[in-house]
Formats: sequence, structure tokens, C-alpha cells
Amino acid sequence: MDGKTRQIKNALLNLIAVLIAVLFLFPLYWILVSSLKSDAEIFRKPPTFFPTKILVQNYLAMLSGKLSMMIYFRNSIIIAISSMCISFVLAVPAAYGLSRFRMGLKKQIIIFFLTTQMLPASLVLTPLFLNYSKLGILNTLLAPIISCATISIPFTVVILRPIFLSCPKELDESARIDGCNRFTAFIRIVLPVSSAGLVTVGCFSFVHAWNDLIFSMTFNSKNELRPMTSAIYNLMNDYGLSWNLIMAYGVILVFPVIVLFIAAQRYIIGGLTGGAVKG
Amino acid sequence: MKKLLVSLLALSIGFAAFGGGKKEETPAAKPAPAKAAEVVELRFWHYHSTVTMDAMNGLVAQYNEKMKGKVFVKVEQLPRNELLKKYTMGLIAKELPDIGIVDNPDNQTFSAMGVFADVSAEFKAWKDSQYFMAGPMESGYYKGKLYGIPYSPNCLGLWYNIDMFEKAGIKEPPKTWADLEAVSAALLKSAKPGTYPLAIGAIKDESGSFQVLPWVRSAGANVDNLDSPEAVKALTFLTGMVKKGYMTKEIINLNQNTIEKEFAAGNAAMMINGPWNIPAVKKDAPTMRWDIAPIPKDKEYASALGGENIAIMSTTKFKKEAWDFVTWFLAKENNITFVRAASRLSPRSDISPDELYPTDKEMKKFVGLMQYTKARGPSPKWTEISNVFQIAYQECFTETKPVEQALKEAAKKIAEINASIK
Amino acid sequence: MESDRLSMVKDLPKTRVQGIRTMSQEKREQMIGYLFVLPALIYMLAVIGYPIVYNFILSFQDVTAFTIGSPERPLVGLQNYRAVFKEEIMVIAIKNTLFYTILCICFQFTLGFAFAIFFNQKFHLAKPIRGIIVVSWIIPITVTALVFKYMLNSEGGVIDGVLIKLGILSKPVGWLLHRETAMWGPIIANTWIGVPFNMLLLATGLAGIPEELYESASIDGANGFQRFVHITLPLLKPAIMAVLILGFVYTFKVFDLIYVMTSGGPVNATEVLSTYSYLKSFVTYNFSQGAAVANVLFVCLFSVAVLYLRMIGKDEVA
Repeated sequence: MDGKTRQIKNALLNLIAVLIAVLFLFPLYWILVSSLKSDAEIFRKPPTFFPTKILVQNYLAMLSGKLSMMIYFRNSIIIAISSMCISFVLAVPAAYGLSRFRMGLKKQIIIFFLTTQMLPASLVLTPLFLNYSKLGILNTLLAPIISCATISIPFTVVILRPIFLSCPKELDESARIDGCNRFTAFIRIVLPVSSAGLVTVGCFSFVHAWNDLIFSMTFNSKNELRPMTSAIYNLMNDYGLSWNLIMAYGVILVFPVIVLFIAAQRYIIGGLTGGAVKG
Repeated sequence: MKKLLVSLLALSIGFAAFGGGKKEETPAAKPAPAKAAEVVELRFWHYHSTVTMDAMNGLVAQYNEKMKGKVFVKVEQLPRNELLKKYTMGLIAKELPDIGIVDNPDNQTFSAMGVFADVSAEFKAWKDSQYFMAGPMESGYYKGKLYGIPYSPNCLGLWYNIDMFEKAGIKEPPKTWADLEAVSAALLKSAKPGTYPLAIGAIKDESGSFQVLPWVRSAGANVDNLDSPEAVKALTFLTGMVKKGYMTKEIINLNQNTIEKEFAAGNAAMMINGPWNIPAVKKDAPTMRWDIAPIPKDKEYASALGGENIAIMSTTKFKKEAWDFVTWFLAKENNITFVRAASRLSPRSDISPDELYPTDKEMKKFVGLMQYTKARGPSPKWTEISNVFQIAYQECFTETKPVEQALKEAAKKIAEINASIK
Repeated sequence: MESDRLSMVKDLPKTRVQGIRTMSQEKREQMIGYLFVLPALIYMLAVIGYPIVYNFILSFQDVTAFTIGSPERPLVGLQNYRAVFKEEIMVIAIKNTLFYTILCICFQFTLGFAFAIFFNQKFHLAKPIRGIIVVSWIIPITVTALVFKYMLNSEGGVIDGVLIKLGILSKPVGWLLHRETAMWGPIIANTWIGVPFNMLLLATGLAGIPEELYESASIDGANGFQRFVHITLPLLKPAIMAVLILGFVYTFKVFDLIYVMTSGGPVNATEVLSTYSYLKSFVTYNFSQGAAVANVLFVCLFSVAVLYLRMIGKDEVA
């Protein structure tokens, strides 16, 4: 198509994209705006679309506190990164194995990974608590890390498998002809080609663990081990919530992850425009 | 290959099932029996937050100062629902603390489970025990033995917005249900649209039962006879309030925190709530004029007992030291300190309302309401009964079922639950 | 040249290539395959294997608040299951869970797919805006649940407010107040949360489809729709199936979202299997019945997983 039509088409697409973003992200706007209002204004009828008085102190109230936010932040980072690493090391090879090799039990293995996700979290807590107690890892960061990995591992396996499947086997073959064994072929050839998928799955694993609340709450009672998500409970008095603070809490929790995603998007772009199989 | 995999599977399950085989030393604080020079560490669980937590932690720090070198109380704070879950998990995994708090309606259940220790003898021997009021104390007994002691009871009262009352020409807060209806009609006329005369929190959880129960009690009934004409009268009255527009239909989704916000924002002229909200209302609506009155009555004034009890765990190795902390915590001066900071009331009859709240007239009013307050249940299966009650009143307020039918079915289920308690 | 070798391998008929390998090489291939999978397998077994077995056994015992202290837990057969199914709430919970899950998956998937295709096109704002949309998935579920609860409020909730201003509604719907509409609250919220998840994964799959395929198809005269049906869909099928099955499993066992938004109310309109199981275990302290409900959830999901395997079994050759 000629330059002019392309320009119009581009402009139109951009416009639609902005409309979609505005509509879709309205709840996010609502969270942001509520986090800057006073509780009384949040409950005003009809609701105001912009705070009459912007209260930055909601954020200040959250960032100060008995134990500095930095400690909670540190815990969250440790839990999220460790759990992401564990699932990478264990699940990525598993996904590869399930995509490349004939195995008699392949179907059963896939079903097994899926079944580990089928119990509601609240029911898994008591037996895990029992086990962790016996192993002596209650009140350590290990307990939530191990538990979070149990969610990201099957997720990674199920999602990466089709991505590996779409990576042509000829790549592996040619690598092996060049002298690699299966494992090195996997690491040197297949992984780089699938980097887009890997980054995506890594981000999901990170976010799952970052947002975890229930595991940390159940297995750790020491204040110094709390992740950022646990701060939500400081926002409740004994019987309920402080609305504007909860919204501020949501924004603060989301912020580091948004930064991560923006950085990762660049990487995905790199991965998407590269291709290794030009026939 | 398959055989190898199957045996690996069996091994893994076995490994998992027996928790790794050997029992390793737990690094968690399990103090050995105190030798002469060793400090006794007591783990104390509570779920208070914000100012209440500060008050609690402050007192604990004071105690630790006093008992330096001998006893150290280590506080672990968790949110309410998590804490209750952990009592059960802790019982199974033998990971209970030494001292803990519990919401008063749950006290009996955990006593029946065996989480709490029997302190009847210690309490009887304590000279202060005579000052503890019978109403709140009721919640701590199970099968005649004492398992928990209330330290900051509270109750519900009627809060009303003086500005809105004056605008509607109302001079006094309503005393009876008939008054309440009249007042509501006047308020509905004079207030701007979208405002409701009364707000209660009829959400489907324990706090909802807490809100609806006083009305049933006021009519002369209780959860054990929900199919009685008195209970039907109470629920019919409340449903009528919704139908006439005096209460919003949204009450089934509102909890006590939210209605405080609605009251402070002027969306509700009256609300049923407890004293712990006084600081919140003062902060959210600093210029609003409001006051407290008893919940309007049918036959008699009634309110439900809120607040927590303190208990010693059955598995503690340091019952004597734990009891020392408990009695210190419940001592007159310390109780006054805590209760004031938490905007609660005291279970002790030797503390007069004037002594407790010399200048805070709203708090004083709440102290006056304690005489009408009775414990919820009490029953070791209270949460189950409460759940049936919640479904019943929600069915009434959403008009899913007619009041008589909803209450009849609820009464039947509750009778079955009561019969199953041995 | 590498490309020469590649084409050599490509040109050999499949049977010849296989015939080159011996039986023990087949076995060796299998072994290596298992080795890739084994670490993850052992980890999951060790950590989650016990809870699954524990809950299974628990549902056949009689553990309640009163019996939890005693060390003995005799088996009582199907008593808990019979008790649980006698209550009408159980059937309601199953129906609600299915209704919620199927609708959520339909909406999330369709929207996510649409977004993936839309943002796959080349225009300036494509990548940044796609990146921003992901935020809905990152926000903690408690916060999302509360925000939607507030927006759906019949008194001054913003959603009804806007719809009334636009003339679509004449009075507030009272979404979370009526049995008929209550479930839509969590459905809308969950769809909002789930769209980025679907979108990102489908986009990743879409990006793996080479441009040349589309180009040669259009040269052959295929229009957009035909290209979509004959190229995109088949090549995307493994990714689609993976996204659907995972979405189904996660949505079916929803807990936080519904618990915070409605607590299962009004009455039982939004009670789902996981909230019901929680209620049984941690509110009424009947742990065995709670485990029984959870196992029903488990069995439902397991059946769906088996179905999934049937559907992918045919075309994914090792």
C-alpha cells in the first residue's frame, strides 16, 4: 500500500489502541485516584472523578511504619527471584524434554503437573505447614520460596512446551551434527531462539511469587520475614480496612513489577524480531 | 524405565509422607525447661493492628522491662483470620505459642478443640477475679471450666448524626422500633437523595451476625429459637426497613468498617457500630456532630458482646509464667491503659466509667450500654450456627424467601447442630 | 554449508532417518527425555504429593473441631461425601463454579486473542500499550476485588453511574445484590485480570509464526479470514490449548477474588467450590467435609485435564 494509506491506517490503529487502553485501564485509574483521596471522599455520592484534595500522606503513611518498607521489599525480592530461579532451573528443561522426546509416560507426566494445581490453596496449607514444621523451615524465607515455586513450575512446563514445539527440530538436529549433545543443543540453540517465551514465563513466575500473600502469612509469623504484600494487614484495623491506604498499597506493590515488565518488553521485542530458521 | 519411574514415585510419596524421614532440630524457639539463669521466652500471638497493636506491644515491652532476665514475652502479630487458622494448624503440628488472644465467640470452639488451657483454678485463686463482669466472662467458659478471660469487651450502639437530625426536626434519638420507623421516615424526607436513615452491616460473616443478633435478642428471642414469633417479628421489622427504603439493599455487602465510612461521609444518618470506631469517625468527619444511644428496643435493650479474650495454650511448658503475664496484663492500671488506647471497654467492674473515660462522653455512653450486652451463643459450634443465621437474614433482606420460611429452615438446621454437640 | 546439511536432513524420508537409529538408541533417547523431566517431577512430588494424599485421606476420616485433638483418626468411608451432597449448597456451588469458569474463560480468551492479534500489527503504540494493559494482571487480587466491588456498588458506584449517564440504564442494576446478577461481578473482575495473561501468551505464540507463510498464502489468493483459519489457528493450537487448560484450572479454583468481593453472598449466589471448602474447614471447623468438597473440585478439574490430553494427544508427535 502507498505511503498515504499506510499513514492513515497507522493513525487509525494508534487511535483505537489508545481507546482500548483508556477503557480497559479505567479501574487502574480508579485505584490511582482513590489512593489520593481521603476515605470520606471515596464514599462520596456521586463519586468524584478527581480528588478534591490530593493526599500524598497516604503513600507516606505506607512507606513509614514500624519496620521500614525496605525490609519488606527485600523479602519480596528474595522470594520472587529465588522462586523464579528454582522454577526456571527445574521447569524449562522439563518443558523441553516433554516437547522433544518420545516418552511412554509423557501424557501422565503432563497430567501430573496439572493435577498439582488442582487443590485450592487454603487446603494445601495445613499439610505443608506440617511438613515444614518437621523440616524446621517454618519462619524462614525458604518456606514461601518453595511453596511459590510449586505454582510456577507446572505453569512454566505447560506454557513453554508448545513454544518449544513450535521451534523446529531441525535446529536441534543441525546442532547435534555440529557436535553438540542433547543438553548443549538445548542450551546453546533452542533457548536463545525461544527467548521471548522464556522472558514471558519468567515474568509470570516473578509476578506470582511477588504477589504471594497466603504462603508467607501462613508459614512465617516473624515480622522481619514479611513480604510487601503482607503490609496490607497493617492497613486493616481489627475489623476492617482503610480504603485509601489499600489503594495506595496496590499502587506501591505494582510499581516495581511495572518497571520489570517495561524492561522485559524490550527484550521480548528483541526476541520477536530475530528468527533462526530462515529456510 | 517404567518400573524405575514408578518406584521413584513411590519413594517420593513416601519421602513426602514422612516429612523427610528424620526429625531435624527445629530452630524455632522451643525453650528448654528454665534453669536458674535462663530467660523464659513466652510466645504471644495477637491480631490487633494500628493503635490497638501499639497499645498491646507497648504493654508487653513494659512487662519485659519489669521481668528483665527472667521472662521475655515475644509478640507475633498476624491478621485475625490467619491467626485463627494457625491455632488449628498449630494444634495439629504442635506449633502453638504460649499465650494468645481469641475473638470471644470463638473461645468455646477452640476450648473444645483443646487449644486452650484450663485456668479455672488459677482464676479462682486470684484476688482480682471478683471484679470481672459476668456478661463478658460467659464467653470464656466451656463445660464449666474457664479457658479465656475477656480483657477489652465492647458492644454495639446506635450512632446518630445530630446535624441531620436537626434538619429533619428530630429532637431525640429513637428509643423503640416504632420511634425508629418514625425517625427514619422524617429523615428520608429531609435528607438529599442517596442518603439512608440507617445503616447496618449485614454481610455474610461473623461481623454480620454481630450486627443482626441484638435485634433478635431485643424481641426476646435467640439463635436457638429462630422460628419463634419474636424472632420472626425482629427479622420482619428489619426487612421492612429495607423495603421502605430506610436501609439500603446494599447492607448485605457492607461490613462494619464500610458503614463507618458511609456514616462519616453523610450517606447514612444513623449506624449501628462499636466504640472502636470513635477515633476513625473523628478523623473521617472532624466537623460532624454525632452522639451515641442504645440500639432501639422492642421488648428490652440488647446488644451483642464483642471484643477479645486472652488465653493460655494447652501445650505451653510455662503455665505459671504465662499466668503471671496474664494477671499483670489484666491488672487494673494496665487494663485501663490498654482499653483507653484501643477505645474499648473494660471487663472490670471496679473501674468506673468516669475513671476510665473522664472526658470522652461518647465512650462513657458505651460503657453504659454494657449492661445490656450478652455473649453470642455461647456455643462450641457457634461459627456453624452463626453461618446458618447469616444465610437466614440474607435470605430475608434480599427477599429470596419469606421471613417465616427462612427462619423456620434456619431453626431446623440449628436444632440439628445443637443436637450434635455432646 | 549449514543450510546444505539442513536441507539434506530435511530431504531424507522420515522412515530412513528412523531406520538409522537402533533400538537402544531409542531407549537412550527416552532416558534422556526422562532426565530432562525428572528434577521438576521429583520436586513437585516431594512438595505437593503429600498435601494431595493428605486431603484425600482426610476426606474419609471424621476430623472436626471436636476430634482434631485426638491422635486417632478412624476412617468413616463415604460419610462426608454423603453429608456434603445432601446439602443444597453443594449443587449450587458446583453450578456457580462451572458458570463462572466457563464464562470467564470465554471472555478472557476471546478478548485476549483479539488483543493479541490487534497489537501484533505494526504501529507505533502497539508495544507500549500492550505493555500497559498487562498491569491489570499484576495488581494484587485483593485490591482489584475491592475496586470492582466499589465500582459495581448500586449506590454511587461508577459503573452504574456511567451507564445511566449514557442512557443505557434507567436505574442502578445492583450487580452484587441479586442472585441473578451477583456472579457477573466476579466474572467481570476476573476477565479484566485474565485478559493480559491470555493476550501475552497468545501473542508469543503468534510471533512464532513466520511471515512467509502468510505472504505465500495471500499470493495464492487467500483472504484474511482464510489465512486466519488455515494458518494461524492450526499453528497456534498447542498454545491455545495450553492457555485454555491453565486458565480453566486457575479460574475453577478461584478463592481470593470471590471471598473479598462477595464472601459467597448474597446468600449463596456466588458460593463456589473453593469458598465452600474454606467455609467448611475454617469457619465451621469441619475439616473432613472441607476436604471432601475440595476433592470434588479436584475430580472435576482432573476430568477436564484428561479431556485436554485427549485433544492434544493426536497432533503433538515427539
